Amino acid sequence: MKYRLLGWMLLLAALGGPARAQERASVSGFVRDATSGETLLLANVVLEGTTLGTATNNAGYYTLPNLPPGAYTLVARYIGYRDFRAAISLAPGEHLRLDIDLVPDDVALDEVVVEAERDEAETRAIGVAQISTETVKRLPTVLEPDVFRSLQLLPGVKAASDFSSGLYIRGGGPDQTLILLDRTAVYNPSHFFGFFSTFNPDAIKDVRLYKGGYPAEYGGRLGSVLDIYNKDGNRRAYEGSLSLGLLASRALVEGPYAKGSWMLAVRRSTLEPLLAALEGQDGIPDGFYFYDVNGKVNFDASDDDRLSLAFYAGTDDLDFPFIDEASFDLRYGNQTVSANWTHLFSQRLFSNFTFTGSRYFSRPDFLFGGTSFSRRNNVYDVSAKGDFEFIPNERHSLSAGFWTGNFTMRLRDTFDDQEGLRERIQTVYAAVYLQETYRPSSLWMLRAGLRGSYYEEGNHLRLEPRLSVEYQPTADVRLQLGYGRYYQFLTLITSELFSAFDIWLTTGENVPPAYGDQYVAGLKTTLAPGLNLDVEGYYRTMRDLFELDPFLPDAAGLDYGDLFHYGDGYAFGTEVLLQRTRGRISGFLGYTFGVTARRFPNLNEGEYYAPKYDRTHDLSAVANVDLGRGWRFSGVFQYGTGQAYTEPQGRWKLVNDPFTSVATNVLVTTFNNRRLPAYHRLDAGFSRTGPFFKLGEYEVQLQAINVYGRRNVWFYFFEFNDDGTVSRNEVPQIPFPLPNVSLTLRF
Amino acid sequence: MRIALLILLLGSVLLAACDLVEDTPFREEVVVESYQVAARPLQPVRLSRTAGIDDPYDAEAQAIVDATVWVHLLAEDGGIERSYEYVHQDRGEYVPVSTSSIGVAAFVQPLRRYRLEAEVPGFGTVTATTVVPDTFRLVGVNSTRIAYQGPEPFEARVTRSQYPGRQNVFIFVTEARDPAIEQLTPFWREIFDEEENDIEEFRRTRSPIINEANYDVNPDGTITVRLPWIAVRFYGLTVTAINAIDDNLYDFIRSLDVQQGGSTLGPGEIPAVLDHVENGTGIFGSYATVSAQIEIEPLF
Repeated sequence: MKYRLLGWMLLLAALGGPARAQERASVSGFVRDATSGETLLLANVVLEGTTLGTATNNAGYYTLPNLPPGAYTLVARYIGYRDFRAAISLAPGEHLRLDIDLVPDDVALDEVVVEAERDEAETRAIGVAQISTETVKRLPTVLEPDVFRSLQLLPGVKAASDFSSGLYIRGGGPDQTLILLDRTAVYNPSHFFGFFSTFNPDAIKDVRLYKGGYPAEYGGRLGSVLDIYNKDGNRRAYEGSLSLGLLASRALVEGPYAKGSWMLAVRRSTLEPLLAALEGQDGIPDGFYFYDVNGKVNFDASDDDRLSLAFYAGTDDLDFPFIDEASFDLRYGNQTVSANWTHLFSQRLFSNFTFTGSRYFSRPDFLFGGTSFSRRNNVYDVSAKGDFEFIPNERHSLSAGFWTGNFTMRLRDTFDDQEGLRERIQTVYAAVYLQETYRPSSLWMLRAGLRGSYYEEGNHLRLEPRLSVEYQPTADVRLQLGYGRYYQFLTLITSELFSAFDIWLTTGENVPPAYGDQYVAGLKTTLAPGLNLDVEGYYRTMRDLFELDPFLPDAAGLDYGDLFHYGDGYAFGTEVLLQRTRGRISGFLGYTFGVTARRFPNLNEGEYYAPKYDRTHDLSAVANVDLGRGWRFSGVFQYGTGQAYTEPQGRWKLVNDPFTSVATNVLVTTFNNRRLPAYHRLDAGFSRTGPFFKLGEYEVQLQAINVYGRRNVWFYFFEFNDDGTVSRNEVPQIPFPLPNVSLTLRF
Repeated sequence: MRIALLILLLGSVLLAACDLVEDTPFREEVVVESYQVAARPLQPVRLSRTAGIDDPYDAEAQAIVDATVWVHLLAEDGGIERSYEYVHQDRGEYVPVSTSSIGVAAFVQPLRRYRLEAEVPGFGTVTATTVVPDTFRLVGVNSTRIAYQGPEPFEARVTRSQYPGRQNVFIFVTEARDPAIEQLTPFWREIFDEEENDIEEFRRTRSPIINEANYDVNPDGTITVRLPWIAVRFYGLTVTAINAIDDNLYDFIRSLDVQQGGSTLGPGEIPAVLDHVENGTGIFGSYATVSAQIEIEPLF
């Protein structure tokens, strides 16, 4: 049935507009930041007083096709920028190229209220959330501003703990989110063992999160997609900034050249003086540093051709001899490179081609009492992708594309210098998609897509239908429904404690891909200009989940399929987001009711259980207040139901154990049978911006994390005492108010 | 709009009842503890009861002294080929009745299936079954005097055991003959806390589970296994045992190790141990073993 509907829609697209198009006119172009020339993604472009409008795509390009000739007022809008208005006149058959430069404005002016247009169509699409890099930088943060930490405040997105930047979205684990940087998959985007993400907010232009029900152009993950784009670099002038923080310092330089722009952002930890001062004390490593470098060069070959080359490299390195004859060395990181070509075949046919390379490596080495353990995990992903967008008329928009590549995973374990495990999987993968967006009237929008995915390892070929419908009964209300089937060919072996040991494994001959269905329903309203209320409900299934068997003591000699345990799960929930995007006080209030469950054979006697990151209720309040005279206040309050944990109910003892000389204590447990106390935390900060010796601008941030010193519990561990009792010990999350100071200079 | 929000709110309250986090009350169970050794006499069976987490554990008080215990040797078809009656000896420990009259048959036969059956008043019948690993032999060792962390770790050449349906899995056990604080090797000296630990607790230790595939097979079909230095806690005379374990011990030890931390489960997520005891818990396992006595010396 789904496929038949899709077929009809594609047919409608093919037969749709061209017959009338010859009489009609069109307008298209790029929307850019006026000061830097950066393209703006998902900016809204509408014709005032009509129902005609669109949003820029991932390259910042828009097209309004098939317009009746005449005079219009074109309005372009983007949060954080002044509205752009231009009177245009279109002759029959005219194809107007209008590139738009929007002027940034920290406090957007309420000068134009555009009514009844199809604006914000993409930014408020089902399952989509967007967060600006300015917000990321302004929010109070532990040590470093962080994209992932900011995303964790959105409804439906949760953190495992204060110490983990991993994204747990709509009941899925971190591996269920595809993370793309400039269209390139990034496999372990974390620094500091997972404490914060690798994405340098200075370098980022756009962060878009598809929490669920994502469209056919994406694939490969069961849950969601995080699409991050780095800045192109300033096309107008040379700029730079320098930020000094407690943990790390950052520098950014960008500027134009004859045929385009460039950008280079560097971040490095600055802990060496602190480590030197503490040298010799217990728990202090001999050395630790991390760095990341982002760079991009753009070449504007012509009005219709833009090329770019982007790269990222980041590494964490730890050298930690913690006691005599025991040491821990770790080096892990990511490198990506992407070459991108954006080409306009015509005003109606947009294309983008990307060649990507991504590498992830993790190399932990342990030495305990002369016995070594080492692990080498490498992931190489080289791919080519192409996306086409054809807009024959105002009713139809047809997208198609491919993504193919070669994925290599290598995993090698040694114990006591003997090789115990060696796995190498090299596989070709390919995906094609076709997607039609059909707007029969200004009230309705139907989007249907079909994605076909092939994974050579195991010879898995899967079809993934996607469907969404939007009905807009009034200008301020949108009702949305979405469905999608999703497949995942990879699994992440991760520990919430330290993401530095993360391992990616893949499906194989006896390991089928995980799959799931997502059902999403949304209600999006505009209560007042700049005040939005969004409600979304979701239900999703997760089947054929494959994870490294947590009980596996030694993988040597086992078949690949025996490394895993297999299970299933489901999640459902409701998210409410009340957001104010304009004015001196902006921010949002987010609430999530959510349930997620898993089922694996050797856990909880094979019954469903709540994983640790299941939180029934989750509330976030984020406020940014412009206090005037360069002062700004930012505050974040979070509340969440306590996470699931295991409280032992009983214990017993083995007294004749032939393998040890101490009695062996055993706990009687029901898996994750209790909840920790509720989590709540308030973070607040002030910033002051002003001129810096006529050379540029400074910004000083003074922030406090956990203002009232809430001692949120991270987990409990249990200790057997000599008197026969068992004591419960608490390990807190950040237990005290933690200050943060940073200074940023912009030139 | 207001109605929609009201419905949403009410719906959320109703859905809150779907929380899977549910505490179940503690229920007392019978604990079985028995380790049968291939080609050795039948080993004792210990029976006790689990205790509530808030109750101080007293091994003597938890012992079950009034059970009826049998160990059956099973035929291939699963029927009972031979039964061995056990009798309570001391503080929950049951031993085979009159082992002298049982003679050769009282020795545990490799690659055979044994079933424990215990009638426990108030708890009913508790059963567990083990398949005994095949015996194997120690063919030779590289040296009986080993320099700690020297160029030549202790290596033993052993014949290959067998176990139905899978490769062999081993655990190494080292036991110091004369443990003393001053004899601790450097790493374990760092770990040892004189106020917290008793040196006797360090006397015998085991390695994690190690698969046979870690070791090379020699041309004569034997395998050479190597003692990891982490298992050497003391200088001096040490008995090193190599144990091939059955499925019950394999599941029990691997899950016990997860209970004690170090797996991919989240912190605070503690699974139950994997036992194979019906109507109870514990371990009724078996293993085959060989051992050698070596002298561990400081490197310099």
